[in-house]
Amino acid sequence: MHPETASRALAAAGPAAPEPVRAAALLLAAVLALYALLGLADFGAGLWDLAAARGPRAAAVHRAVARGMGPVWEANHVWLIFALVLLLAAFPAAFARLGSGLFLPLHLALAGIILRGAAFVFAARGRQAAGGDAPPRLWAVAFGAGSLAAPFFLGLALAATAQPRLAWHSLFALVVALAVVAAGALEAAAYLAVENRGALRAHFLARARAALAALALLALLALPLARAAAPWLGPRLLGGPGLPFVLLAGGAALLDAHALARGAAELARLWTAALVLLLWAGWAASAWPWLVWGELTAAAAAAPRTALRQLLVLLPWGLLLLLPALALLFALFKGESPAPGPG
Amino acid sequence: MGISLGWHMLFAAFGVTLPLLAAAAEGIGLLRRSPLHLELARRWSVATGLLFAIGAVSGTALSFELGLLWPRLMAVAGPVLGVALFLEGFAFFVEAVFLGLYLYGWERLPAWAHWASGLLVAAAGSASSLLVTAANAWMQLPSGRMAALADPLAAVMRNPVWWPMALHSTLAAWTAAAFALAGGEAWSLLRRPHAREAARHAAGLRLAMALGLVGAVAMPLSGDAGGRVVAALEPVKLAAMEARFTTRAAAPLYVGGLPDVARRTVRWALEIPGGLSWLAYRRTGAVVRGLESVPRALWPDVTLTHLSFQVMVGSGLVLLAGTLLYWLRAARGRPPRWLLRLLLVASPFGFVALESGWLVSESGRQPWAVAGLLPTARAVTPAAGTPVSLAGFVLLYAGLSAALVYFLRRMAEPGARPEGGSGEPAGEGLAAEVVDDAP
Repeated sequence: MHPETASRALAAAGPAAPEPVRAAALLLAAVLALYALLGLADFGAGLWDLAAARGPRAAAVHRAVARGMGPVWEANHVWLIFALVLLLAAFPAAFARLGSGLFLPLHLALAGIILRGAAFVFAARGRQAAGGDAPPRLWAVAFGAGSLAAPFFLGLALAATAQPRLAWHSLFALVVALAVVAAGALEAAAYLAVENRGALRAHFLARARAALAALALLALLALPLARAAAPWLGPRLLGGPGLPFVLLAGGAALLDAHALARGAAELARLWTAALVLLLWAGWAASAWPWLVWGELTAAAAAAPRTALRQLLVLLPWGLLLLLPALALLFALFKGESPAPGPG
Repeated sequence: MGISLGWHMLFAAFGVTLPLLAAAAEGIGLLRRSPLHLELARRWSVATGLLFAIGAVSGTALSFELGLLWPRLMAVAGPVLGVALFLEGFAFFVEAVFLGLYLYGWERLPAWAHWASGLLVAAAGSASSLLVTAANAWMQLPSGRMAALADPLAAVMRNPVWWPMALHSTLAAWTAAAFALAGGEAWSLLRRPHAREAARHAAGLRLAMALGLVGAVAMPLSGDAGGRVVAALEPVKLAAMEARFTTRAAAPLYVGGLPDVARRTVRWALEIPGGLSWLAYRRTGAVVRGLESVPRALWPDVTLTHLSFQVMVGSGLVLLAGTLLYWLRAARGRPPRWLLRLLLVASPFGFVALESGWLVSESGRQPWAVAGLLPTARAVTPAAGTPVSLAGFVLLYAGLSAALVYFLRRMAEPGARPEGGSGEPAGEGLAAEVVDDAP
């Protein structure tokens, strides 16, 4: 703990955030959680697609990734756009500060996102035009590279919000960014293991184990680094409101490892999702009430109260439209038994 | 930002229009039990998948760039624009969800549900177009920042310039994409395909031109309505559009011409006496405010605005002529080759009109980012490196556009295999049929 830093920061944070601000912040955290669960997994799938490009199962992996992402990736991706729009509408000052303070990493993340999305559809088209299963190298590489760059630079940006003056070039930021990449890779492998059978399921289970090990290692590395690099978030992760989540995440990781070792794909998917959610919840709870540490709290960055209320009033109507549609999409493409894999 | 937006509009226009046409084709196919139309719908839906993906990623670019390039604009206008964009977020979400259902649900959904999801993609796309325009309309005519912050929803929704603008630009998106598609079908027909493919391309051309007719006729009407609102509420923009330097009664309408800003005249223009006064106020004698009514520093780029406006109107007339010719001639059987060539030439003008119309509206409100509240120069990011990022994105977009054209051309080639899910039985059967027809 850095009692002096913490109390100084608290004093700067001012009185507790008013109710609509809390609600909007919670909403933002929830939208980002959904993006971490769904959108991040699509990046991970891109990585496995690239990693398999030279291996013996290249064609089967490409097919599995294309089938798994095809119908849903655009909907998954919208969670990010939604989070950005929500940040803009509810916390315009933070949106502006992040835009100018993280000019370079966010641009690189964006380039990765554009490249990834375009390369995915091009690779699918190229594969069909060629009549084979392997996509043309160029697009496979672009798809993989974009899928690596996007979560990496988004992770850098996230880490920067916890550091003084939005510093994004630090060891702590690097470790957090790699952890975000590893989390996506873990999700993708765990989800794809459920959606496939036989040798392909074993293939993805093995990759999930590797990704879980990498994520655990990076998380263990990040915690001590956070104490020095992130004077507000770090101590609170290990001693404040973040601690219960960190402990629960540790439990989820162990259960996930156990399920992966036994080859229980459905269970592994569940624990993987729980792990990612708990890590994010721990981060969010520890970072609160800061959106940009030392500069903007949620209350200070918030839009006028009336604007926030309007957002919150509109929200349920929008969800009423959206949720049934999303449920239908996932029920149709993710709810049935896996397609038979080779072997 | 402008590059991203201009690029995004191309794909957003297809993202709205192609599902509409594909659903129309599918509807006809289902009603008349016409496999020809069903196959057309399937092919168009494949193109939709490609174009929408590009539209989605370029849309992401925009939501990032709002913050990256215009941080101060967002700090000032965020809450107001935010409400419109928040609603647009829902519309976009619904669009993406139903697109997934439409593209991948051919075999898994009942026919009617599949058809309905195509319509919903088009409806959600149009709704998102309307809402984005609402955000832009507020920047054109902000109804007082303080009042707007107290009630952002009303500020956005009750903006008098919103409806004419939104209607005009959404129609423009439909028309532009419909003509581009018609051009594609005309090109395929000109290559003398086999009978079965020719029939499909002809059916596609007919559908695209039907939408093109609606658009080309409705565009001038909605444009006229919009123009009168601009005349009443944004006189400086109108003056820049029409290169009207001096305030005068019975103002003439300039057709063509190059504004000479230094001498405050327009050279080489055809003048229609009282035309501008009549268009703006329905009286040939009405007084039209000129640019001289505001300080020189507050003038938009008159040359750019006036020329863009002329290009937009000219393109609209080309489209109207093209679609009228087609329908006059198409009533008497297959369109002849000269007409197909003509349509091919006319097909890009929809997008020319769309982009130049956008230039009119954006350059016409300069030097303001939010009219009267925030000058553009102060809204832009203070970060260094903007030129580098601009160059990088121009390169990236150019590369992706080239790849896209390549893939779309390959799809249009005879014998190209339409996508059917991921090689599911029905898709294979359809592909086999097409291959049989190939030379």
